Amino acid sequence: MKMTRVAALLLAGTAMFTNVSAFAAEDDESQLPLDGCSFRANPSEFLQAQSRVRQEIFENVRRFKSSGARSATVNNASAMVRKNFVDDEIFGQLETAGIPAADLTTDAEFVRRITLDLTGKLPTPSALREFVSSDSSLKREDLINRLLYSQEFSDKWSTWFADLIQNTERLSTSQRAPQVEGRNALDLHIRNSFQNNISLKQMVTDLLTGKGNNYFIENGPASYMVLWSTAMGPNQDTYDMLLSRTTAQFLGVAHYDCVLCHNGRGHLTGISAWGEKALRSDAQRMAASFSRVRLVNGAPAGARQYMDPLFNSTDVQDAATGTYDLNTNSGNRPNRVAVGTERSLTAEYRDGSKAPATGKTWRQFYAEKLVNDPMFDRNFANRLWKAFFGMGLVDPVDTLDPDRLDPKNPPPAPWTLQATHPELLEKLAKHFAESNGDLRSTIRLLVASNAYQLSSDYNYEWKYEYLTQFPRHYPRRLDAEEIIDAIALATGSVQRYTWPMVNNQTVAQGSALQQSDPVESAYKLPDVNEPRNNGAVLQFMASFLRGNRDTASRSTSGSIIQQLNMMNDNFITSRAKTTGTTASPVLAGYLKFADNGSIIDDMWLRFLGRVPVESERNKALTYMQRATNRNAAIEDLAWACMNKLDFLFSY
Amino acid sequence: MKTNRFGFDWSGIRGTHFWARPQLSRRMLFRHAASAVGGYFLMPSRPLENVARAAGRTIGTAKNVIFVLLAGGPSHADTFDLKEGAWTPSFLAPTSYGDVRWPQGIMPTLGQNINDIALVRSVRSWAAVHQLAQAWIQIGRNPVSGLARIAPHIGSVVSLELGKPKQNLLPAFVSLNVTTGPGPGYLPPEHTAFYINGLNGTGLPNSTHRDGQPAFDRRYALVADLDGEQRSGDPRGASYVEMASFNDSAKRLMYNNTVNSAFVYDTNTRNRFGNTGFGNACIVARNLIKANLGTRFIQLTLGGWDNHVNIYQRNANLEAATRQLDLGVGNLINDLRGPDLDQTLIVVMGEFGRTVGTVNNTAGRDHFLQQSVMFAGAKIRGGRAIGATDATASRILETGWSRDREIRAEDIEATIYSALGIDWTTIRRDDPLGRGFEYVPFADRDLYGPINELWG
Repeated sequence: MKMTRVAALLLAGTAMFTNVSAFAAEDDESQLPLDGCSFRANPSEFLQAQSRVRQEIFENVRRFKSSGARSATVNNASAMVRKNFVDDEIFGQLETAGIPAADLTTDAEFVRRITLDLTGKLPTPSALREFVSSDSSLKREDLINRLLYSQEFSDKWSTWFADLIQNTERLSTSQRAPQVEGRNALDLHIRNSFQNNISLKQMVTDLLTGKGNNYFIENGPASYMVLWSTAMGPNQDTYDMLLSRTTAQFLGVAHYDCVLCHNGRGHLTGISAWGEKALRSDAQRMAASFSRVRLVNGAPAGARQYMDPLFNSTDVQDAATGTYDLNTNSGNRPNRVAVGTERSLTAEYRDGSKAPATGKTWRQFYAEKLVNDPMFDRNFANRLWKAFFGMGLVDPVDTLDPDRLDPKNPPPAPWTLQATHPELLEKLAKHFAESNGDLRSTIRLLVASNAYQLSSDYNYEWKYEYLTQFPRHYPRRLDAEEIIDAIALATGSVQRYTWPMVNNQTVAQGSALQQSDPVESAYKLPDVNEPRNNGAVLQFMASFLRGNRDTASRSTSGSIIQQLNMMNDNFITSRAKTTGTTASPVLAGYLKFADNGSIIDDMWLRFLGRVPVESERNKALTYMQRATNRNAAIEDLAWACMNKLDFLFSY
Repeated sequence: MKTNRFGFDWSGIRGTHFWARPQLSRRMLFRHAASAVGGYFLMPSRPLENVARAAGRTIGTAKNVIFVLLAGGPSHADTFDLKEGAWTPSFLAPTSYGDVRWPQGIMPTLGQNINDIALVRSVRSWAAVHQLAQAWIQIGRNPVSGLARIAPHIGSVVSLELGKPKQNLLPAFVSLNVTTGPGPGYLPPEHTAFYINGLNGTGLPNSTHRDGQPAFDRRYALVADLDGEQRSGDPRGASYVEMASFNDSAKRLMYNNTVNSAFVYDTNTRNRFGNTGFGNACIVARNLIKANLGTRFIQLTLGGWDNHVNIYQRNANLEAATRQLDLGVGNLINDLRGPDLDQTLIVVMGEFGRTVGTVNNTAGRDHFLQQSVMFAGAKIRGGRAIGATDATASRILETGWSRDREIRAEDIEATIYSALGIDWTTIRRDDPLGRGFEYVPFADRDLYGPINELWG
């Protein structure tokens, strides 16, 4: 392998000693013989990625069991009622495979799950009781609609979107940082958009075309350009970064990052049917859409550090001219060299269309093409599916292969269609497109299906092969924000959060930073590194792996620290109190209950979102009767509820 | 070689293969060209025949690593690569120890330990940007590269290779006195750093129950009773319940004297180490090494080095940071001396250096690519410097090692793995991108490697 490379270099040998630049032309990665490439892919190893994800979910499913002592059954898939095309596809495929489906959720199970999944909150006891006792045949649909249009839904899904685009004040790769002001403005823009049910297509268009001074509240989207500016290289590195991030986040095709260094041949052979034919120059033509963006210091002339409120701001502008020049020999990617006689590239989309000479900027052209790309619809359909069903129809969700998704145009053998349910993904994508990228409409479709409403109990042999067929619901550990909100809500001891509105270079050195108005839900925080002004709370949340929107992604894995915190952290123990300055109003209220049984019933409803099963109730009653100190017994039970395994899960 | 204010020199890079980031002077280029190895000269690494031999031959003297991150970028020319001039304040008290010139005035304890310390002065950072460079040295590769998205912290790799979670009480990778950092990348989440903050000398934080042990025992029994069969295995023959097993492990750490004693220290010790957060973390690091509870990679982070303004202000800025470092790491070395130090590699580095010579117009120093790294322990040969810079510590005159180029973060990464007996040329085939994940980038091309001269 290495000899081939050296031989190739030796052949050009004499030229090199005298003219170093000759080597640059030799250097084009795409010309390297396949044998000389150490990055060659191996199909069987690639499949490991997908199966690793599935293995993890399989293990999680096996490890969690709800405490419901109900005698769960399983059912023939043919007997399951089909409410929409999601059910048609899921139950249809289960039937063909001969895999039984779980029971549907009971009302109580459903309320807790849907309230958590849609709004990140536990249902209140009264909401629970009301739902369970209602006779209406449309009560699930009504509840879904109420939750979809609640403020809490906006809060949670704004955070989801902010995670996706990695909105934060600076990345380790950023050349210019959005700073706190820019992050806040972009966060506000996202939240306003979700509250007003702005379509995801419009939201992404806003991000891609944002301009102006990024500190200004009305210019939130401008910070997206600033965020992805790339250090340690020429401007082309920034254009490439923007292209690779937007295609990964919004088209689900992370392999553009590979193709921006070299042609796909050899590297993506066997990994992606699209990728193995992809050309670096085509990816660069798409990246050219960003080659007229200018990121300029936004502070006025003479602005001084520690004085000017616009210090370190960035003005995002569109220049009238500019191209993607193939003339780099430094930075983060291999030398960019001419393609044939083309020494600079103009903006083109992957469907071959070129940006018009007038009428719209290149970014506007790219945005329009992107949000109308069928891959855009498939990307969000798949990501939303994963959010509710635990595993994507294609997983990992940014490995979509454009050439292997259309059942009407299947790839040639030995390639197979990529999705576990190719027709379903297409129908979901079509629904998303026809609704014009309406998040709520697509989510409604998913959660209204019986496939989503299946129980996670599965009283039947559970096999790894069943995983991709979704015959049951897969439990998920709650996110850090859900957990901390649940503790605060269940105990009635509200936690307030604030965050800085300015960065410390824009105000007098050492002065306190102006804080936001306080909020009471962690889902209203603009970033996962907040609340930075409350170290204890931040550490508590961090142990549940919020990630940092940069080098560490969010995770729902467990850890020892999480358990130590749930058992011993001040956030929990100070709230498990019936009296004292930190007493929980809820627990203090229980002191007035005459009947221990009512306390236990209400506590279970409030903390665990369900009634206690018989064995639990008896044990708890016995505990209270035997206790010498009734206050302590109530506190112990509250602590125990928060430390029960199912407190941390949506199932 | 003409360098701009921040030490960037692009003149040697023009036309060079993009991988060969080391900057080639014309002198070096033709030196290699004359070596008759043909086209391979443009990769300033070893001739081919050495590649196979180098791979896999590790030093293996260390069982543990203590990695001290000097966040902010310390002024190398005032610390590990002391260069004196009209700008040098007298309180630095430059003193000679053999060939090594050392600022005894601000780092006396480390000065006394100079025989255990090797100063590597031919290191160059890739980036003069804080977050980029800090991420770079912790994951051992370019954070902008495609692989960075899945790249683990060096400590996470150590945890994967050397951790024994089922046998040991504590995780292999512990990070003291910060709350976050680069994650385990694509490696399983159990290799995330175990972050321990809020050290106050009374024990492992959150390992005791605020309402007392009797209350805890009572409550724990209650929840175990209530959870009943959820905490045991699936009757259909599955494995342990993961959350419950973390809970068990957590409980094992509580009220556990063996563990707790590693986090307990008295006032005298605390004062000796400087009575600071960093000093306390050094005490705990020492205790964890001695207690041998399973921890193999300990990261300590010390900030306060980003002295753009008034770098020589008394009892502030540089002096304040070096005092913490000196009392912390100096006493750490003193207390570990012996078999424990012989088996522990200590690496002390920032993400880059600072401008040299006369200070800037705010009496400070700014970001600069030239830097120095301090090593101790693991039987390295101390009391000397490897590599040498010019009169102001602006650029390298002697590289000091066999690869004969500036030393990079990737080489330091390779040194850490090699010291621990981990094959730094390992390429894992289980990564989600399906292209292979190298512990040290371009391992198969031998582009980077350990600084064996530390032991030579």
